[in-house]
Amino acid sequence: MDALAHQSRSIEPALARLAHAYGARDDAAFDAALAELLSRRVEPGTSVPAATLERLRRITLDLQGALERFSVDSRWADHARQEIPDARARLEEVLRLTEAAAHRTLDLIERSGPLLARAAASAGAVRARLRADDCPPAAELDALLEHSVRDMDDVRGNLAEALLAQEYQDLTGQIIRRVIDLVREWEQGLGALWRLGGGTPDRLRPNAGEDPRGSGPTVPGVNDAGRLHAQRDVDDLLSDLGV
Amino acid sequence: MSTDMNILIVDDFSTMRRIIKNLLHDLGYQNVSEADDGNTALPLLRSGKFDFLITDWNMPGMHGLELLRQVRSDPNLAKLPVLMLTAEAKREQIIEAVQAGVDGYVIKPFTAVTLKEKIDKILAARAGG
Repeated sequence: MDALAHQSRSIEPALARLAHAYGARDDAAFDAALAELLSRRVEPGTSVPAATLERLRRITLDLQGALERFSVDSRWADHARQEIPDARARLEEVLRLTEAAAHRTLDLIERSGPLLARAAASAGAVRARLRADDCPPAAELDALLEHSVRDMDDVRGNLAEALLAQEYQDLTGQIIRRVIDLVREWEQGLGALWRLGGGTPDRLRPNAGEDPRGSGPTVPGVNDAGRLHAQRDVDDLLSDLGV
Repeated sequence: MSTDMNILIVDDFSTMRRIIKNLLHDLGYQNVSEADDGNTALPLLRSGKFDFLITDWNMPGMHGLELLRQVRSDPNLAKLPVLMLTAEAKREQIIEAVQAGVDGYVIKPFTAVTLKEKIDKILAARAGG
């Protein structure tokens, strides 16, 4: 009885404020007094305020629910088991396709150069002889023109093949789009997990630590801050630095 | 120095090495060798065979800036002309490369004309200095 009497006495001022606020139709004061009274309510058999226990119960339930949702979401298991290794393999394939296409194009260009050089040299030699009134015999001219026609046909064929070699872009484009979709899904999942742990969007920003190896080519909107975009700007900076 | 000088190209992408090599051939430079990062380039350079170094920055293993520092700290290589040919285009990076002793800096994507201009400029400065 003593304990109850003590508790009753301790809440009397708040009760008075509640009654006064009710009479005065003061909503803010009423809410404040009510909150104070609720916070003083102690869980029977403990010394812990009931409001605190209620909050703890809710947090525990939320966390339990979130963890259950997370563990039963088979998408995460799929990501770890299948899709992340797949994405890596897809990007490696992009690297392989682009490298193969570049080498194929370079092969064709390197093969065409000497053919053009030979045709140009032959034409130049004939022209020089014609100018010197030393017209080559018809058979020699015929053979030379025949070689030149063959060389030009070969160059044309090489150019057509070089054109076809660019088809890699269609394939790599499709592969990269698949990986972009996967990365977007991971981003959303990780963001949700981060927020569950109390993280805020601001804290999701990556730490922009400098890598001594560099940050690679300029990607608009990603790493273009503080970068020079034209060789002219680089030359001006070098000039300012005395190089 | 004439077009018979020995040039070492250092880049981790074989296609880029090939493109640079082709451009150099067109400019008359026939003695061109390749390495895929600083670790493979350094022993080649220390053989004393090379007269000019063209290097990328961003490479696995030893990156280009570290290769430049190693070259400048080696008494036998300290005066080797070095041209950096890279996609790294931050103002601070270019300043860093200059402080490390680079002779020229070309950003990718680049043109054949730019490559020729920078090589000529470095060689002219060396001949004049």
